[in-house]
Amino acid sequence: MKKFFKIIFVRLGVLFLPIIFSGCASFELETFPEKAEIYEAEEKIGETPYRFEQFSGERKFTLKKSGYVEKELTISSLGEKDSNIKLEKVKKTTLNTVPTDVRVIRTRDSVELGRTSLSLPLFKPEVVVLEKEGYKSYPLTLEPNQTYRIDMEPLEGFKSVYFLTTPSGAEISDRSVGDIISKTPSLVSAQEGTEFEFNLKGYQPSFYMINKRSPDRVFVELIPVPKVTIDSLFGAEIFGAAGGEKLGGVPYTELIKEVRAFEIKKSGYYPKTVTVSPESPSDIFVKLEPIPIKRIVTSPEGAIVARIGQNEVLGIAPINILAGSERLIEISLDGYAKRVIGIGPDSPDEITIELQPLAKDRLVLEGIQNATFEIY
Amino acid sequence: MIDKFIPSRDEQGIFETFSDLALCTLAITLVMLSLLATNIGQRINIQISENQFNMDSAPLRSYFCISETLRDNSALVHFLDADVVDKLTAYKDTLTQSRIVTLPAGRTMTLGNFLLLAPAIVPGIDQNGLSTLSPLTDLWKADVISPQNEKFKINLSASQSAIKDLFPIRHLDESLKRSRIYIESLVKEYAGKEKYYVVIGHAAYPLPEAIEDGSLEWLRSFESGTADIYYLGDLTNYKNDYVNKRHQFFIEQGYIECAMSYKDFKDQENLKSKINNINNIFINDSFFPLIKHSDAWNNYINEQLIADPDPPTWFYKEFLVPLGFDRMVMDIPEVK
Repeated sequence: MKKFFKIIFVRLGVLFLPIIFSGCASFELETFPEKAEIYEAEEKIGETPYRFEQFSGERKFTLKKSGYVEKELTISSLGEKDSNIKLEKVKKTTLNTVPTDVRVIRTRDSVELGRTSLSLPLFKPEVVVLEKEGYKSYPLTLEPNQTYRIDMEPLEGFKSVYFLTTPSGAEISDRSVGDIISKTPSLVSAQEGTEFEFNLKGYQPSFYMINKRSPDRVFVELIPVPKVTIDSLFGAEIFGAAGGEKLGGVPYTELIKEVRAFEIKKSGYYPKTVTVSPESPSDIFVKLEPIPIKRIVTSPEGAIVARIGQNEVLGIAPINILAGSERLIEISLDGYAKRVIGIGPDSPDEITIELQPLAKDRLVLEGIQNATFEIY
Repeated sequence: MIDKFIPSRDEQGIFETFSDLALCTLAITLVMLSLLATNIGQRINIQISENQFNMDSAPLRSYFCISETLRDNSALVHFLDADVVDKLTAYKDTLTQSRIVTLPAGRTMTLGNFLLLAPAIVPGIDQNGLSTLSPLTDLWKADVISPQNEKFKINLSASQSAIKDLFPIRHLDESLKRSRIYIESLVKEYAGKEKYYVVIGHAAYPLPEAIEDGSLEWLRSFESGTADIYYLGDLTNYKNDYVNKRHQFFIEQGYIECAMSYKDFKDQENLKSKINNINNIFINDSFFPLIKHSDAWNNYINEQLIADPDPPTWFYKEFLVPLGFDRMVMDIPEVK
């Protein structure tokens, strides 16, 4: 009997021993570093190191410690009794997209975390959605301390082009809207037919229109804006064309992005308009023609010189007249026939005008009657 | 039976009416014919005035102007062809070259000589109502070049006042349209030979010398179908007690002052020289009695016109024909 009990006991013992040994084991959860908070079902149950009894099933814990990535842990009663968890420090989670400037929106509360390229300190995984106009939305779970590179997929009817410029850093803007979209190099997805303008200081603006046949990579070579220096006679001044404001004196240097006209003025000289374009030589000398002064001399002297119609008397001859352009002047003197002459820049420097005396008819008497008569 | 041959009372009435009508028509026709005949006779019997002459020429206007010397104010009178002057004044552009108008010697005389003639001149108007002798206006300015190169200057105001003062002495009414020149004849005897004269105003022109030397050239200014020469009669015969026939008239008609003035005028010595030196008109105190006493002179003219003398034969041959005034004027009352 005793032997029977002994056999039974042994055999039961053999049967239940693992159960006894396993179900009754004490578990110890340790972390490095210590003092991580242990949460179970959102309830804090303790801190590491943490000892607990578990005879059956599984328990799920979340380990939290400031500056470290949250760690979720499942402990099975059949698993190892001692768990030593090394917590990972929170570092940067980097999210790069092609194209850039993509909005990163956290799904659980719809908060925008930022725009790519983005670096975030995540202490736990976050589910986000990447959104950008012209591209399909892209859901993504960001794991802490991970680096992501996401190629956004353009929407239907949109074309995604990677713009490169030399030099890089040119602002890309939609010509029709004017908003700056990005800077080169950049992948830009836009509706076909959209025209982009590339602007970089010191360079001429360049343009590119996206179409169906546009390659995936577009290289735009930016041409430097040429500098043109306008020089002329000493003391000449530069004005904007067509009555524009004074810009400065000569020599005058200006970046010429497009065709521009300047007026060069100097007292005593004809103003001259010069048109420069990016293709113009870098140095331009503008020759000014002196305005001729004409001396009006009349014979006899003292004639009145006036504008035609005598609305404005210019003076008495001899007189110096600025013949900036073709003009008619009227010369009159009492007793002389009025003269109207035209003078202009091409006229001789001294113009002598012979005034013809006004003629009077003459009654010529062939004789005086020497009549033969007697007084009656 | 007999009644058949006697017309009924009604038939007799119709016959009488018809004969009355015929007689009436005949009488009216005869009256009208006689009136027509009378009228035609009157038209045919237009009288031709035998002492009124003109020439077959277009109406001519003349400008009258007086020019004076700066030296002694001696004045000349010019008769200018209005057509020529009007063309010159019509040119409006600035004149840088002189135009020359040559005036024959016969159209220029001293003011004194003109005043001798003025009493016998009555300017009329042309077909446009313009005076046939108008003073020159300032529209035409000209330098006067005299044969001796002496400077004469046209005096427009003197020209205007001369016309204004002299020629209102129109002894007929204002309806006078035709210019008139009153002329008398005179015959003198020299060495048994008759010497013919035409007397115009105070000037007695010997013929044919006055025609040959151009003394009567000024009459060309009145060459016109509307300028008539009126023959006032012959001055040859008068009573010996008088200076001449005009003097006799003034005395006999009681124009004593005029007669005395006339005699004094005639008796002056160096009369021609004095006349040549006259450089003013002074109507009321004129040197010339026929101007000063225009009423007596006009009366004289009227009397002569009423007398309606016929000119002597030599008057035609020696005076009218050589000058071209060889057309007797038809005496149409409505065309004076």
